[in-house]
Amino acid sequence: MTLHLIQRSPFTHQALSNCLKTLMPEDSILLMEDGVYSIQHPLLQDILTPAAQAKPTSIYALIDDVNARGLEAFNHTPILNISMAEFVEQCAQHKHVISWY
Amino acid sequence: MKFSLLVLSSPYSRQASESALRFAKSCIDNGHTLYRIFFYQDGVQNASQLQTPAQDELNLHKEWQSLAENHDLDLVVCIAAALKRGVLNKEEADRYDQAAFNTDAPFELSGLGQLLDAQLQSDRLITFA
Amino acid sequence: MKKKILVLMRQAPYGSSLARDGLDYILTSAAYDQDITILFLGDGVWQLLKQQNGKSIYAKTHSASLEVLPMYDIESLYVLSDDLEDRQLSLNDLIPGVEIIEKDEFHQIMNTQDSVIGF
Repeated sequence: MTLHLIQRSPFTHQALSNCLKTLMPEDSILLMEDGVYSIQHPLLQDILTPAAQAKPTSIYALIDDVNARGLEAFNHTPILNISMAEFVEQCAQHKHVISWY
Repeated sequence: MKFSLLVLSSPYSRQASESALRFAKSCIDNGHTLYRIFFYQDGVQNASQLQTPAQDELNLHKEWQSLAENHDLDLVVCIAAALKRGVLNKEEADRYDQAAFNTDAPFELSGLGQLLDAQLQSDRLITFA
Repeated sequence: MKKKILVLMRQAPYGSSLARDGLDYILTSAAYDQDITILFLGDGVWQLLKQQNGKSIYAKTHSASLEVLPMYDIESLYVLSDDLEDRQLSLNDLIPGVEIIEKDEFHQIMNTQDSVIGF
């Protein structure tokens, strides 16, 4: 049970793509910093479709990073906006936390 | 819960240091323990007391310093990564016969064993890159 | 305290210092007698190519440094088959001692670890 922190834009880096290669069913993904641009990337959108094979339990986006980048209107369910305090608690609740950059 | 943070990126070049600082503050506010903040790779630049940002920008050295002093935090900088990037305290400057130094307490220069210790002793080690 | 630690090596050598710095962390952990498993993931598999020579670019030869790992009792070196295939590589292109695994085998390894760190 791992929380994956995506810290780079999937439009320039392999962070999200590499993360998805190792994703396990009970894992969750948190988008932060430029990782929040994943909201608009097909790699992330594909794992949200019912046909997706490797699906995370939850996908979170750090709301301060989303709002700072003007992405508020683009974010949609099931991606959950969370605060820094909730981010800390998600780290506490997952056995492992892996940063992807 | 006991957290440690690993900061890998230079302040001002990437968002990682600001994110780590905000995470650290949130940890404390949520009642968790911060066992250690370890600065590695370009993250060692956080320890430079000579950083002089514009007045309307955050001074990360000062932010870490005041957080550490207010909450008795352990700020450890990888000594090998720091020395080669020109981040030295007085002791190291004297040892290597350098004319100046640019870091001091609460930042402490030490080896990678301190990162391993943080990984072994903490419930979670969170990396900011 | 001895723990099972998984280290993810995800960056190619030479172009950035992450591969080198990750290796330094691995050697430190081994010196303190930790149980280390390494997964070379994504561009991290480039670290394992044979016949590297960093001399002309003022760098230490990374593969030569990796080849000392068995002396530190680190013998669990893994790559994912997809990552090799994507890069048109086979086991013959890599330094000895590397094992190719599939995603489900990685999950089994992951489930046994006390702690994970990525470079």
